[in-house]
Amino acid sequence: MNILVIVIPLAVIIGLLFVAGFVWAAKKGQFDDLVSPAHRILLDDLKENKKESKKGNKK
Amino acid sequence: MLNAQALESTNCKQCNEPLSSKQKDFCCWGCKTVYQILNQDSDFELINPSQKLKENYQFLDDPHSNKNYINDSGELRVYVEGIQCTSCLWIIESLPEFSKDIYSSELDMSQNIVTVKAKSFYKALQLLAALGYSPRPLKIEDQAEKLLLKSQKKLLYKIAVAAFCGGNIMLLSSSIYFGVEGTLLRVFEVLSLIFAIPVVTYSSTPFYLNFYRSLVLKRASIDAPIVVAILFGFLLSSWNLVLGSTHHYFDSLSALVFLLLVSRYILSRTQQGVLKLNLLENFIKDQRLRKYDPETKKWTWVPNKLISKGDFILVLADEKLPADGQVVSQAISVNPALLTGESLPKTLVKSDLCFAGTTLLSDKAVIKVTSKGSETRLGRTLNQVEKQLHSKTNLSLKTDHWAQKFTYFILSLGALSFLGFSFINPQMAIERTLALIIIACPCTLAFISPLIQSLSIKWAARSGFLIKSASAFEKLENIKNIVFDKTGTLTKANFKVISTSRELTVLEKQLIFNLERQSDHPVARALVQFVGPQNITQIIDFKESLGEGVSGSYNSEHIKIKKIMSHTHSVGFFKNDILEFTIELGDELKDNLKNQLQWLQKHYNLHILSGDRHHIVESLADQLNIPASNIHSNLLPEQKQKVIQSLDKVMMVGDGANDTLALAYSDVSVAVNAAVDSAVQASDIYINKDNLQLEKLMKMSNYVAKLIKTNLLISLVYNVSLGSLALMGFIHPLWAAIIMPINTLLVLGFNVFMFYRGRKAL
Repeated sequence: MNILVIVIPLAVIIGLLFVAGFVWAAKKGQFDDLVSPAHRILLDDLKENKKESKKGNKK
Repeated sequence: MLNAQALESTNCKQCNEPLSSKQKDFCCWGCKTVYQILNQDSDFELINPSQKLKENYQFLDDPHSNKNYINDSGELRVYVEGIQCTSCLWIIESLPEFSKDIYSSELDMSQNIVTVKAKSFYKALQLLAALGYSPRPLKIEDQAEKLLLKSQKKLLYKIAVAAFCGGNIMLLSSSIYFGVEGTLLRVFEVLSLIFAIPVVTYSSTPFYLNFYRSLVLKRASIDAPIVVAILFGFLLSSWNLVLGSTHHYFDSLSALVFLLLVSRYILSRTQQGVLKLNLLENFIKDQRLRKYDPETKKWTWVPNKLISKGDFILVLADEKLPADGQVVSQAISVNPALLTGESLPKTLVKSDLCFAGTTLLSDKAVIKVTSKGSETRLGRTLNQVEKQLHSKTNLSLKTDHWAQKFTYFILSLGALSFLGFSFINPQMAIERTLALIIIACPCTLAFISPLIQSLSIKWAARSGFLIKSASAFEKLENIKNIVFDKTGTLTKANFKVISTSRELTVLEKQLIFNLERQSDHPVARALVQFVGPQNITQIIDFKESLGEGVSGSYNSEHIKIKKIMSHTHSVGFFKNDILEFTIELGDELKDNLKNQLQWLQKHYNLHILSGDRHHIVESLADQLNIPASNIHSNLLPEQKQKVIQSLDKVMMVGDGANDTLALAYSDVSVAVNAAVDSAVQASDIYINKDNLQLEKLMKMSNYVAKLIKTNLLISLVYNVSLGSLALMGFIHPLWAAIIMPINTLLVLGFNVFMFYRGRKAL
């Protein structure tokens, strides 16, 4: 059971890393808009459909 | 071409979404435009501009007047209506392709807000309108709003911490339940305590803060029982730990905090915060005007604040008058519908008074300013509206109310049992009271009410009702009176020919067409629409004069079409000054209105409030079967407000600036599609679809109200049965830890299922 002395703190540290990652993502605005990015991923298909698709769209 | 292939006619040609019966080929404007751009080789050109801007937003390009709208990084946020699918996203984010004056545009589909960077914001708005999305520019957030956004983000951090600590506590407690012994048990218990500290001191702060606020305001709050449960639970559990008992509830406690935080976060995201006060503020103060400069003898654009009383300003056709004033031009024709509710255009002659907010129909008008900004009639009304909206307090919701009563009951029961048991065994007293408080804490209630609220707001939004706050939706259940504005709410904004005194000949139709097509007057437009396209005939001596209709000669006969004075609703067709026939015009009822009102009539008292003339309102009420005693006509905004105040449990439905006061004073206010910004701002609910589907709204609110009652009943049964078990000492912390999440999941599943059923049924 002595292994617990190492494993428990380790688990806590890993957990804390995830919390930190989440806070970082929230700060970056990753959770501000949960709808548009799901649609935005389809935009390239639409653009390819246009015969003379314009190059270098900033988006 | 993958998605452009024509499929069944019941689906959108572009995105393949199923269409409603009214739509043809495309589900939205975005799809139509995208389809056109993809199929015709036209490079980002608008084939059919859909609509013009309703307001004059030119001031947005003036660096002196746009400060309240453009943020530090040069961006403007615009609220747009009619966002449906990926095509909308594509077309809106392609705005820079249409015009070089627009640098970038980004759409947030969760809130329907476009963030635009541009050289000319006015152009961007024009484009959005032309694409079919009615744009409403938003003011930049003020301090309070920024704080709100910040606190929403902080709530996310708090959720993360609660999830992390709660998860660890649950792991530790489960090994306790499965029989860890000795030193390890003590270690795990202490660890649970340590993990519970951030939950109680950091994650729970929103509850403490709300509780403190409600104490200061001396108002009961749903947070009171939660705070008691958290603090009591934590302190008593810690005390038990010190005494060496395994009865502690850190796991249930942190799960409770986590669930409550999540449900509140979801609710705050679903409420339509965009439509809230201040963001859509009337911009009459920021307007730019064309002022006459006596030195250069030219009209120059100046910001509103540089205009003073006595200045001359120029207004062009379709623009709204920016200030109150006196007419200087000979005669002008204005449409006062939005300001006063009158359906017919008004003719004003020199030195007549005209008011800000009316739309000019004539080509141009010169006006001598008498008052501007907040001193205008419109401005004064809006100020009053704002005051009223600020003073409106948020009523606490019914579920919250019940939850409170219930908690006080539980708390006193807990105190009693503690006293009672402490005579027998103090240790047992602590354990049983703790079990009672944790088990019977109104967590289901506190958690369920925001859940139902956010589900119902989402449901409503999907059906075209944007709801500002959940309490408005709950209040709908008690409504007894429904009051409608007439112009723009019950009727369409434009007129229609209702009847003619006799059948018209082809020649007469031709003459009407050729005479009236040269005029821009709304009556003329209605007549042209009525006779339909006709052959062009040669009319000589065409003349149009205000109040005198149009006239011209054809084959040496003098033809004149003009209003018949005594009868404001009809025009007469004169041939050589002899009346040939009359045409009756009227405002057109919205499609399907009668059917929609039929159901409402059975359940509510319907009223009409209008600024229009009595006989017009009366004939309309007659068509809709609304009793004459419920009709109020010729009303000024203040009089509308008085009528509203005299009614009990009233819902107001309106669209114009003249309705805003009445909207602000009613229990529930609804703004209909295409309402002016100030009316939207004054309303709790905004219908963003074209038809007035109030029946659906009321049925939805009744369904949700019933659902809330069912939930109350369920949690009552649950709490009473488990509470008594806890008092008898049957509930071990292990059972509490198992029952609570199962119960939560069951309630969650039940409600999600009920909403699914409701969506199918309605």
